[in-house]
Amino acid sequence: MSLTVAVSGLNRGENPQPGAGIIQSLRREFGDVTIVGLVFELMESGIYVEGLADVVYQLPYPSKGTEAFLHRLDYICESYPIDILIPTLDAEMDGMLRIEEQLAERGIKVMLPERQSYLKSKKQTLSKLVEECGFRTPRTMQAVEPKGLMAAVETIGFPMMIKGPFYGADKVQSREALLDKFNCIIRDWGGPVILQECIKGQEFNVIAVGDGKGSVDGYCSIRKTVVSEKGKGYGGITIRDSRLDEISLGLIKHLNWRGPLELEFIKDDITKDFLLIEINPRFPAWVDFPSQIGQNLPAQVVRTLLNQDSPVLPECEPGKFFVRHSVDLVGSLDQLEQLSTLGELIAEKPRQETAGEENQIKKMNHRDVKKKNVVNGYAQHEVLS
Amino acid sequence: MKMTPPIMQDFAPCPQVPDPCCSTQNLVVNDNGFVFDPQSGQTFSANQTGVEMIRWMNEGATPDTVIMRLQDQYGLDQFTATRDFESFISSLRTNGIN
Repeated sequence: MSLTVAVSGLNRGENPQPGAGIIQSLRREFGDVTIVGLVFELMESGIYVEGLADVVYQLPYPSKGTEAFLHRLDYICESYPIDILIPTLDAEMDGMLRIEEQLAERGIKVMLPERQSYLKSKKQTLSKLVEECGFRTPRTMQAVEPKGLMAAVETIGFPMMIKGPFYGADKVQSREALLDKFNCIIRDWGGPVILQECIKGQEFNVIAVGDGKGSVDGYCSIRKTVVSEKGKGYGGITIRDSRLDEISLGLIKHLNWRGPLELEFIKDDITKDFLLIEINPRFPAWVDFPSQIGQNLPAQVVRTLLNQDSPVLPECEPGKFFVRHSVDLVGSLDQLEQLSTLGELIAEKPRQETAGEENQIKKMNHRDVKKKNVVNGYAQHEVLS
Repeated sequence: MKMTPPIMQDFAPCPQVPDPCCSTQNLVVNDNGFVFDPQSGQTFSANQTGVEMIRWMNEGATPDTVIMRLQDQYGLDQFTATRDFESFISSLRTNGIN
């Protein structure tokens, strides 16, 4: 069966995204899958990983709107008809929910939560949600202008976490630092800015795929063991805590969540309570870790979307851990040239070229191209017309 | 046989928490003194005396029984055995075992 899956978020650098992990998980399960990598930036490191995406297309930024995205998708589907789309970035989710119908019309399946569930999960409404579910979140306020910041200072005090609507979380200790971060977030992402009480404790994360009926098709919980300066988890260990499971599964049931999600908790050192910090409506960057220990959640998503029976996955055994490992990838100017001028890059398995192949002319992006050589698994094409 | 004071080394430190009780029931421990708490994901190393105390407690021994066994096994007086046991429990609590 031929299967084409499009996945976004290929960066694995300082701010790692989930796409590469999802692709690795899918390749482990579906040998013949064709992967269309969707990127916004030319320096998303996953573009240059050998054997990751079969083809990479650059997308218009989410701020350009859903029409531009659909237009680009239609263009991609002319060459690679997409069966399944797995969005991975917070900034994409709102738009995806708005175009679910248009995607279905194109035969593209996507596993998303109900709009109502998604709205309830947003940082701005988290306090209300946890109240409904009977557990806690750190005191949280939001601000769209500096006046609101001062109200938060009065209520929450320092230190305080300041977060953007989609990305970024910084601890601030003073009014000056708070205002500085506030201006940065408003400039980069817009408002509202989220201001949250700083809780001292260890961080715990849960990854799951909700079935949309209150249950899960897969679940794994970890404690973060290595945290980068930016607060990103670079290591984690599987755990089994009945209270954490009760809260997480109760929340997923309450939301009737459909699709992937990550729950971020902090365990208060003093009260021992698990406080929900964030709900991410997509797979996290560590998605390939549970895949390697029996919980291949991206494969569960694909099976569900293909109406195949999803196997009951074995529980994650406590005590398995991951540590993120960085490597230096080699790219070439030809690759950058292709991506920046054509907005796409076709990968081929590395192999010895023959004289016949050297002269082979291919059609790409409606232009004639001659394959020149293969570097790092990617074919380098010379545009002839 | 002289008792070695129990030692624990936490590989992922967490702050001390004042808590009156301490349960070792979930702890997984091997002969090399490697201890894993599946609830928190914390790992520690404990010396032979610490391993024995965890195993005794996992078998259901009360604090009094553990102290008595320390006295029997290591020829300690009650004061020293009690002090070492409490020190070990305090060390467990410091490492997030409640």
